[in-house]
Amino acid sequence: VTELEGFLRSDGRWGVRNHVLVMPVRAAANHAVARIAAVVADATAVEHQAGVPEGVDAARLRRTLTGFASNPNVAEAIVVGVTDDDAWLADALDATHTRVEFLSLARSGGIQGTIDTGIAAAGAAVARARETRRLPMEPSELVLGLECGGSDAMSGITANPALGVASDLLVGSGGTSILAETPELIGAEEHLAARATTPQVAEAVRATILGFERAIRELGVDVRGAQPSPGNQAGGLTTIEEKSLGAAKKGGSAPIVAVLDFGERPSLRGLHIMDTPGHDIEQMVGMAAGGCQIIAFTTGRGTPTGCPIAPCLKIASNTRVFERLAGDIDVNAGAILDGSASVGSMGREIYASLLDVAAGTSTASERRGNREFAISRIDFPAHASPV
Amino acid sequence: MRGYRRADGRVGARNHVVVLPSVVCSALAARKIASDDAVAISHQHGCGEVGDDAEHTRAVFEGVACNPNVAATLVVGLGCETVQGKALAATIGTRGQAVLYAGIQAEGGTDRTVERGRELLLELTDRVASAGREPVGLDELILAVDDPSAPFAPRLEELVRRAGARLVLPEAGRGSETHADLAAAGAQIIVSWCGAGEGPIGFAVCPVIAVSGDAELYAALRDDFDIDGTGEPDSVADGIWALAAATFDGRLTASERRGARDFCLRRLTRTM
Repeated sequence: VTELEGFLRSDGRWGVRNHVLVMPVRAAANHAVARIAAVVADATAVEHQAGVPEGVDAARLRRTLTGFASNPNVAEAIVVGVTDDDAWLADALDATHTRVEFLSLARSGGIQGTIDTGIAAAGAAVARARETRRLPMEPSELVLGLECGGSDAMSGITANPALGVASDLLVGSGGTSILAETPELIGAEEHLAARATTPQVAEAVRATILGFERAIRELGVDVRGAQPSPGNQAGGLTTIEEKSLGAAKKGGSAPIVAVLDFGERPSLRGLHIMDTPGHDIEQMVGMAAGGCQIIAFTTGRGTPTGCPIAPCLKIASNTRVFERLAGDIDVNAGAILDGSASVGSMGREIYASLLDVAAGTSTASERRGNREFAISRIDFPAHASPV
Repeated sequence: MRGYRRADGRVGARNHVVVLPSVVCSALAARKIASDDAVAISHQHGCGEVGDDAEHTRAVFEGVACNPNVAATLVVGLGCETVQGKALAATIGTRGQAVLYAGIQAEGGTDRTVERGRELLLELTDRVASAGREPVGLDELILAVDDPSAPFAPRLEELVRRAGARLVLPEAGRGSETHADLAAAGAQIIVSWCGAGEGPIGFAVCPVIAVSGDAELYAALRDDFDIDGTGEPDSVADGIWALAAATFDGRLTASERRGARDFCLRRLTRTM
């Protein structure tokens, strides 16, 4: 195992990457952001379709963008808005470790002017980021996001329990893990509530999971088709309960210390639950907004996605998919079924791989440039807010 | 005006070959396949959607692929997504559109999908290469306005009616999130009304005529909007109408000139 070294931030948190993030405040800035990142190749750009924060989702949108851009893996952020009204994100980031520069299309003389200014700003930020050195870091400073996507019937038997062992090892060293994907915990609520550290946390576990189930019911929709997805079903998962009991195994056996809202930062160490959708990208963005520096992502069907700022270690539940999607997947937990590993030994291997990745080893999705980004919404007003 | 006549008689103002990911998970592969040779659509949707929301997303993808400005579409899927890419491609095909499909899980990963996708894209590009513009009447124009409450809308509607052209309005929502709906309904050109503080935005397969209703923002972003919409509404409408005909004929709008291929999708409910 490589000795763990990371980037110490002014707020005491540790980064395992040193990104310069170029982020639009609203969708009309996407094009300028993409053009800046196309020139400054070492900058990391995201795109989204949000408008001005309004209504029920305003706090959620602000928390997501602010938390993501102040993730400890981000050294500096170039934030691009349309008018001065979009300065709210840069103002919020001023109170964090992230060094921020705000550009607006209106203030920079239009989109081309913004691109030119942004290229200079991002280039200077990348040069500064290159000068920052890693320092010895304790694994207990890690916040690990637990994710499964494109699950199959093997996920709950191989990759997820092995990841649970890795999560327990991290939590046992004083670190933090986040279990999420609320719809994929439906049916596992009592099992999880029993592991809560206090009656209040147990109640929050139940309320969050049952609340999501109620929201689905109130929509009057059939959740099948989304959960389990067509691919989950083809992979042998029959019901949401079966998927959930397998999905929850990613959280190992550690006590659950708190329940977090989407994109909320943990204030304790240990295993948390975050209330996110099962949508892989929305979930990873929520966990990164909450401060996860690294993500472990199990898959049975195989999926290439990653997170723009937090390295995502991809773990296959079966050897067939690991071999077929070799360039997209990092670890083969199918070795458990093949008999060449136990859940325990695979868990230790995953933990060691996570420490390697934290120390700087790139993951398949990082090498490929997978930088998917999406923001979870819960409110859908008839009239969209201006972009 | 001159436009691209399709096999079903409709006319396109543009001749795009599109690479459409059926889910966010295949967006990077789609972008790599498209490179500079096709329009890659970039979006964050297609999975974890339920009910009307899932059907709306699927229908918009289908409709955009069948927009008259689109000559051919390569659908790129993952395999396990809610909006199944392979089925989507089959439906697009039944509408007579040139379409092919590649899926990441079936091909065996991103690299093989990009390789296969490049071959399929070449096949599609060859198939539609012979398309050329031919003279068409103003009555072939299908113009969309993304906000029925825009001050110029009544006069523009009158101009459209008088020419025997068609006007498409959003059935729900307003602004840029309706652009995909409007394109799916067959609009060749979208007129976008940008109110106070609203920035101009393009669209993947349709020229967007961005009209600013904010004098200060228009002054600051003169090159990025197409029309100053703060003047007398009837003369603004006349200006839009003249520009729409020229745009159909091949004149690039501001968002086309800057290469913006935006694709915002209206969502109906929360992701699961």
